[in-house]
Amino acid sequence: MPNITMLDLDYLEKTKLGPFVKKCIKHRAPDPAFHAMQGHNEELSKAMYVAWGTVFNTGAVDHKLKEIIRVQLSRAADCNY
Amino acid sequence: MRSASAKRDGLTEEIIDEGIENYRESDRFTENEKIALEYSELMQFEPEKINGEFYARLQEHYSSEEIVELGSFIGFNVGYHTFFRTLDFYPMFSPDGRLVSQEESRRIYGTRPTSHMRGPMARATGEHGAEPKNED
Repeated sequence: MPNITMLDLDYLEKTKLGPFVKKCIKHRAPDPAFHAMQGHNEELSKAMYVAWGTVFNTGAVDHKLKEIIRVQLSRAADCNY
Repeated sequence: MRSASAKRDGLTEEIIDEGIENYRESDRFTENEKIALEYSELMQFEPEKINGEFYARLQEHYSSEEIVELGSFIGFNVGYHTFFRTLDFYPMFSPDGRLVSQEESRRIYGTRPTSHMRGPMARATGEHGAEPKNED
């Protein structure tokens, strides 16, 4: 059981996070749990999603390399996410 | 759960595992990619080793702009994965791309992720051939 309430995606899609949740579902990264947990603070969740997208999806470093690093660090932190 | 665009570009689970566990010896990765993976590994386990000498090595492979991009990405993920781990939730996506309940996700992923950092953990602790902490 998560240590704070995990918000329903149906609920989140009706909030200002709706477009970002749909992007998560389409692209599968980050997992929509990103907003299900952080959606308690909508503005922050939105801002961090935009920042995450910038560091992950833009720039000169190869995206596939970033994906390996992302999984590497997830496993290092014992994070199932 | 994996990046759909990275998958489209040819990234496989096998390459991911090799990039995490065996990138140093692997011939699948360029020297540029290897030092980026080392950068990430050190940032997580031994940040004190990321010193001027290491940045000088990085600069042989990446511009300052790229180093800032890599460092920001790695730092962002180190922090977020640590925070998310403490919240104790599971991915909403299964590995094959289905949205699943927390109960099903837990059954799929177990109490810890599979392939638990055998390579990096062994290197950081000096325990070569260390077994994963948990496999359930």
